[in-house]
Amino acid sequence: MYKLKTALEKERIKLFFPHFSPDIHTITRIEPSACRVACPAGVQVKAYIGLIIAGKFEEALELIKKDNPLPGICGRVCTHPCESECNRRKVDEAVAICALKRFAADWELKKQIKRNKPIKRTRKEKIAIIGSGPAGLTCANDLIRKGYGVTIFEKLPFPGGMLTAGIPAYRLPRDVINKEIEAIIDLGVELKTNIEVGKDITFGELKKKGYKAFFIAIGAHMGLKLNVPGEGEYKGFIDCIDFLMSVNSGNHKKPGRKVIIIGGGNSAVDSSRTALRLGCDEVYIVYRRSRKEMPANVSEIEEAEKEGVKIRYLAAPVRILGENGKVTGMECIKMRLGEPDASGRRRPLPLEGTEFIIEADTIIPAISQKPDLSFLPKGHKFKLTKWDTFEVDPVTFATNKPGFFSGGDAVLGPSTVIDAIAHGHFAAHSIDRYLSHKDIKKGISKPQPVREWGFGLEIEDEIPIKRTSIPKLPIKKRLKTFDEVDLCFTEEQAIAEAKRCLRCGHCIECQECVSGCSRRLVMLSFPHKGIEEIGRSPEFILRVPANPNKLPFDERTNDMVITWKDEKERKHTLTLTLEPITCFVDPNMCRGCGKCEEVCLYDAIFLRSTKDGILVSEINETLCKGCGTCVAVCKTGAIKARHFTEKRVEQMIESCLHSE
Amino acid sequence: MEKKHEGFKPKIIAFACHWCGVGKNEINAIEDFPDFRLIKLMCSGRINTSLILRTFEKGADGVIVFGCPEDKCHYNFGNRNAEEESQIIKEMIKLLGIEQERFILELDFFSEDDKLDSVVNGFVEGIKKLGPSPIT
Ligand SMILES: Cc1cc2nc3c(=O)[nH]c(=O)nc-3n(C[C@H](O)[C@H](O)[C@H](O)COP(=O)(O)OP(=O)(O)OC[C@H]3O[C@@H](n4cnc5c(N)ncnc54)[C@H](O)[C@@H]3O)c2cc1C
Ligand code: FES
Repeated sequence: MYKLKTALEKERIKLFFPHFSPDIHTITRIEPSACRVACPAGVQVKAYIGLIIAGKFEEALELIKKDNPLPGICGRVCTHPCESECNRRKVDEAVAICALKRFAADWELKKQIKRNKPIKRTRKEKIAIIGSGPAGLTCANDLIRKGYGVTIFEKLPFPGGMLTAGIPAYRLPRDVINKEIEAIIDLGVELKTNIEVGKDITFGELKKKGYKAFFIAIGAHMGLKLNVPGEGEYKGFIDCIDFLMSVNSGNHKKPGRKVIIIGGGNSAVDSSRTALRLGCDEVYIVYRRSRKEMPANVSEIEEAEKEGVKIRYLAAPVRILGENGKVTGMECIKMRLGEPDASGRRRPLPLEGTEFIIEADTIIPAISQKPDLSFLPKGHKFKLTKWDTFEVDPVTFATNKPGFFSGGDAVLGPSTVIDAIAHGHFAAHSIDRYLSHKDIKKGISKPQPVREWGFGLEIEDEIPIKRTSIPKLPIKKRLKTFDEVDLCFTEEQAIAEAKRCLRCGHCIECQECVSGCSRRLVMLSFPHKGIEEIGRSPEFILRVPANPNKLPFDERTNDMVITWKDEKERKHTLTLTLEPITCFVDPNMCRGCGKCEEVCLYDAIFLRSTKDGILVSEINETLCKGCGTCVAVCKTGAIKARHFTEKRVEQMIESCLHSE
Repeated sequence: MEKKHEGFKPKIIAFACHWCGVGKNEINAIEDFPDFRLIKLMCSGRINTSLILRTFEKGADGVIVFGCPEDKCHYNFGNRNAEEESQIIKEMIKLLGIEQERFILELDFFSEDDKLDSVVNGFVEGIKKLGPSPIT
């Protein structure tokens, strides 16, 4: 806007002559902000941060929940790709987006806001969801809200998948998981634990029971083999998932005195910190690349080191050593980094003759996992990848078998919670379209790749503000318990941190204007035809008459009545009808030449063919700014402007000169 | 001469194009320039002799028209039209005995920050000196 900033600074922006400028104010996003595009589930980051600044914590959480039904969980364990793209990094450090999300979620937990009510069933179809991890839960949440009947089948005695079975409680307290799962179940989802689909009940039986579509979200729980001699031969060799699952089911016996963990992901770091808490004396992590390549969350690695985990970088196992059927140690070899491989990470290469031995009585491999496919019947026709994951369409998440969809770790291999959530959303969308007999490919847009973001930000002018560090439980208090390590921001901290957001792309998209306007004068529009839900955002249009409070405005008739007194104290009134600043078409005059469509700068005009097959132009009044260019080009005079008519201008002059 | 017009509050009509700095941002001139009355038009090119003459006839003491700078007109040539028109208007009001200073066309005021203030203040001062319009 032309020097708007200067004007704003001088605070001259006030409506001059309120009763004469009903107007459309348009807020157009420049682009969806980088954080939002980076989020696989498209969470409206900028918007909830804006709401936190305003102290509207409940509204902030509502907004998060639209795209992410597990905010408290993600607020704690998410890998936050949003923070990696944050434009604030060009000034100092990224905004602590993840911790802010947690703040909003915890705020509700503390307040004990009402429980969800069951959603009314409007569709007769039932859907079976296999696996109650984040992917399954999200899909169930979306489908139940669309009115379907939804049942989740879970092999384990408790729901949550890796959230409950894998991630330790000091990172993700169980009551947080339970509350968020409860909120989804409360909507009317049926949860059946202790049932392994494929063994306890077959797909055929489920189909007979009336399930019309299936979402396979079984995660990836089977540990990969190290492929070294001695593997699995001795007691004291436990796969990390088995180890974590047993601890998380309540078995707090320490596995041994000296523990080696192999791997560099979250599961390796979690295993190490869990082992420390169980009372193991020495805990090593052996990782074959350097710290920079380690896939676990950086803060996790730092905390593990502070707590006393020793990490051997650039080392790989060669042989598991054992005596009398028990593990005694592991032979390792030093590595160096070679050329980058297909994944872009540098390939580790062994350095001959550098073997060394670490003594240990327990070895926990945590290198990677793949889906456990033993539940599939023999001769199943599913297309699989060479990593034993399901091959699906990248946008619809449909498998090769009609009616079967899959997502989460079952498709990606060990991945992240937020990816699983995103897959859940996409799959739910496809399942809905599948059951409605619509083309499932239509209407889904993959998030656009991150572009070079301009946003008109003046990065150089920004003053660096230190990122609020997340409060933590003191180390001494941590080590004997599974109490949560990361603590929550206070209200002041959260607001201060939220204020660091640069709000790239102007409008923060919080949509509060729409719900807040009692006169329903503000609206959103979707100008680009064809964009559908899935968290992708509309264009924002506010249609606000200048300062509605001050208008002598009669709502029923759309008239404004202005009164004034002349010198002789005679009262005069003048009635003005408020025309919106838009143009309109007289369809009887239009001959469909399309000139107007060509010249319209706001995509507000389009040609539509009537029942009789005649083309007539039509104006989308929400988009029209009434500039009148179309009026000028219209040869037949079919388009006219509603506003600034001769008569109206004259009325205005009159009233200007007489009102006081 | 100045004494003569003491306490005189001029009635000034400002026409502002919808897209220019004044119209678009709806700059509040009431506080800064209490004698102003703003009327928006779609483009400064919408003014014509009859409109301005009507305004004077109805009792305005001065008329100022705001529009977009040179090449910024939303319709390309609207402000050029306004400029041509303003020449004619000036001639016309002179013929009718209205001082030429009572009408100005102001394009491109935002390129210098304080120009708006000085132009408007100067204009208002000028009108105050001239006193009420001779035809009211
Ligand atoms: C130790 C550890 C730490 C992690 N830390 C993080 C982290 O910090 N941040 C992050 O983003 N991600 C983390 N992850 C990854 C994250 O937990 C997973 O990516 C995510 O849970 C995958 O979700 P999902 O729904 O695809 O599968 P899962 O969560 O694995 O859920 C699958 C569910 O399906 C059930 N199931 C399997 N087969 C059947 C069957 N035949 N019938 C019925 N039920 C079945 C399983 O029991 C399980 O409950 C971590 C993973 C682990 C193991
Ligand atoms: S649009 Fe402002 S002068 Fe024409």
